[in-house]
Amino acid sequence: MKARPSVETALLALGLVALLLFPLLGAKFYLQLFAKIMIMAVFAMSLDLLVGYAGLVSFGHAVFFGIGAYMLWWLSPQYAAANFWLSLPAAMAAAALAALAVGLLVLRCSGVYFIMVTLAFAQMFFYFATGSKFFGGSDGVYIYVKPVSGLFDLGDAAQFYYVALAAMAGTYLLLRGLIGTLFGRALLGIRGNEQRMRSLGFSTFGYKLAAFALAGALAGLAGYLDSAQFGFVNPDLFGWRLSGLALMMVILGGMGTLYGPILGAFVLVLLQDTLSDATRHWLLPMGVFIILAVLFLPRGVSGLLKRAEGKSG
Amino acid sequence: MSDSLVFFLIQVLNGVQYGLLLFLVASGLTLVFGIMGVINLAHGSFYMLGAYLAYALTRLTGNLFFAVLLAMPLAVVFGLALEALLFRPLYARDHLYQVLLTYGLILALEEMRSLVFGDDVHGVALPRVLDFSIHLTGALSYPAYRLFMSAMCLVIAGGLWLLIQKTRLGMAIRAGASNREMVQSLGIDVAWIYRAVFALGVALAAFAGMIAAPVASVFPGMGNQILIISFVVVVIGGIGSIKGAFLGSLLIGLADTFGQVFAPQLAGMTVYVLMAAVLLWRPAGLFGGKAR
Amino acid sequence: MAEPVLAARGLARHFGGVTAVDGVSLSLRRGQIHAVIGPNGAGKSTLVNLLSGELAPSAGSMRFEDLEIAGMTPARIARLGIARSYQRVNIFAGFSAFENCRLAAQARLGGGLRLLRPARAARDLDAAADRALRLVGMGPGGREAGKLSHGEQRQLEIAMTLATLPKVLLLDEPLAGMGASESARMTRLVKSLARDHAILLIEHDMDAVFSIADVLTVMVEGKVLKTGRPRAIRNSGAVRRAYLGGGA
Repeated sequence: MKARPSVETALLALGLVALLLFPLLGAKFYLQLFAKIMIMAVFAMSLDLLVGYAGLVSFGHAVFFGIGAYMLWWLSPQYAAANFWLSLPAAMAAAALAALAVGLLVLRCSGVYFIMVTLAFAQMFFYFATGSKFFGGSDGVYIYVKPVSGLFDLGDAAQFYYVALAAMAGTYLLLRGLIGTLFGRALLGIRGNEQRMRSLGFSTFGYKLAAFALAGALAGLAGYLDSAQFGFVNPDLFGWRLSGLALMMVILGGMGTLYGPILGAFVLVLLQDTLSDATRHWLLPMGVFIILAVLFLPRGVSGLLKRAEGKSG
Repeated sequence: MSDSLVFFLIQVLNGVQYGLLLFLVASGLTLVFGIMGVINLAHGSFYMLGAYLAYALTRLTGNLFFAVLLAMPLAVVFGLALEALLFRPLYARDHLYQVLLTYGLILALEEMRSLVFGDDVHGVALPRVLDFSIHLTGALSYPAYRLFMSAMCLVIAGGLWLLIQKTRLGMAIRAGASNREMVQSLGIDVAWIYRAVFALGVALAAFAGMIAAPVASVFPGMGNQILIISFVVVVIGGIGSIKGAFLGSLLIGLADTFGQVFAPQLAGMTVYVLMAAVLLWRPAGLFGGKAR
Repeated sequence: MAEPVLAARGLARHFGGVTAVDGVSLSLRRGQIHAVIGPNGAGKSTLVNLLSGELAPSAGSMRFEDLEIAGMTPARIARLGIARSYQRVNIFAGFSAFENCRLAAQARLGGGLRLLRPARAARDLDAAADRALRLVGMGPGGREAGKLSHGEQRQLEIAMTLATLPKVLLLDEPLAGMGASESARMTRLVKSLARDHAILLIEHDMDAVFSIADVLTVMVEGKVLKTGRPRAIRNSGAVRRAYLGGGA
């Protein structure tokens, strides 16, 4: 687990500066697109905590994204704004609680069972939301007024962009810090050989549950911001498509790196955007791209970068 | 017989029929995973493929039976092509990559279906020889075709049972073989076995789609719908266990059918509640080994 | 004689119709090496799995100091101070040997907010890892564990158990697959560890066993055939028939 901090940190710092300066020259459309990308990056990083560090391949992570999104709708009075400083923590707390509940059930399974079971739970929430009149059913619900914060205006594209950037940077720093703690080391041990961890004396279930809940809370953050940006929430946010997309971002970017998912989010959202402009059937080239990426880029883009650096990191 | 008893009987028949159909799909899934260690998210797409082929070929030939006879080899060939091109590189790799590749595959196959067949819902005509109902009592009767479906599924289930009990491959399945060495040690050529098992999985799912088409219609997203339920079956029954898949399918078929009738507000959630309940009790499914 | 640190009474384990361990009793004392020998299939590995908690006993009791530990999870048992090494090397292949031991040392910390300490600041864990590696005779341990030689990996197995500062060591065939000089070194190591630990040693290498064991238990088909000092075991006709002489 050797670290090559210098190159990585330099590139990240460069990226951060570029993102900070971007609004000076970007058109509104791009500001919105990049904000969307950064929100997805938060989502992908939270999944990387599970997949790349704890070894938990969850195919239902979108559940907590959806919960964050629906919470904003629920907490927003119909034609007035919700309070950002109250509704955001509430949304994240709800997502974390849901993750605790779901985690208590699914974390008892491992390996392929875990993948299947998380997928099934994603569908469960999907069916629940689709069948529920209160939550708008399959038509979804609308948020007519964006939350107010008193500090910034979420309706302004540039300001929303910076909020998204802050969320992404904050998530990165939080997770990076967490990985560097003894808790983080234990997670990596669980991913490496969970049975040995238990025989050494670690109560691995607790660690996994904690990671699952934190990842859920961060996914809720992403969902909240997503619904704040577009004002529209529907059951698709729970489903396996979004979960799969996030998983793809993590793998494509390179799992277990935290910055990999950020890269993956950029590539996939830009790809999605470009393709869907080109053809109505954009999912076909998207699917083909995913297939080819899995076949030929097992370590993701960051793996390519590492090889380009010379020695493996 | 009283009307309500007959009504109850009809629901049981429906539940069993749905469960048996589910068994065809789920057994393919669990076989492929049990023998080859491959988790195939696109398994539901074979079900969809079967249904759409049945639709197209029935329109062409006018008869569902001919359509099935034509469609089966087509489906199997398609499946074998996919196995050679896409799945073979994945055998040695982590489940995560299999999940992702087959996720991409679902997206691609869905769009291909949209390009070739469009997005409308289609019906498939019942074969005339089976297009009648068996009168039960008063106003209640039961469609003969559904009984035929159940019968076909039972025949296939019987065939699978023979396969499991009477062949060396079946020995490997019963032993819970999930790696190459186990299969190789039985003196069978692994590559050939993998192809055969994969083809069997495709055939089971496609056949299920074909015979279900007149009853369930042919529509976008049908593959994913049945895939998820199959996953629930496999989780409940235990990975690699045909017996578990059989019991799990029947359980789910009955639970879903009765759930629709008696608690429609829960609409489709009964299945997941059942899954959660089983998981609480047995994290590895009813007949699974260790939860791994 | 000292009180037993770990005492098993009437331990049994059934798998369906098969009884792998049947009414086994033994005691481990600090400063003593208690070897368990017997033909393959005698239930030795099952016994270790019972004592470490990886299997729950079907019957019988296990007492650690004054505590009944039968039925506890492996993690709980390990935290009490009972460590085991594995017959087939069971390490973290992707980490360095040092990191393996450091992680093992971390197991004693338990949970709580202190886990949010930056890992780099945990110098005590670094020291514990260094100490464990030195005790088994390994160097600084910077190489990737998966790339170590078989003998070094077996040493690492032992080092990891030592890093948890255990009172009891359950060693499952530590000499398996080793050459002559490596075996001699490992045997000396186990002997030296006896001073501060209570050791259970499962082994097939009779020379090693008879040279360092203080007590031997012979198991055959899940039952204890005889328990005693090395000379008594070696002279026992029953043991010779069952295992040592023309046996098995």
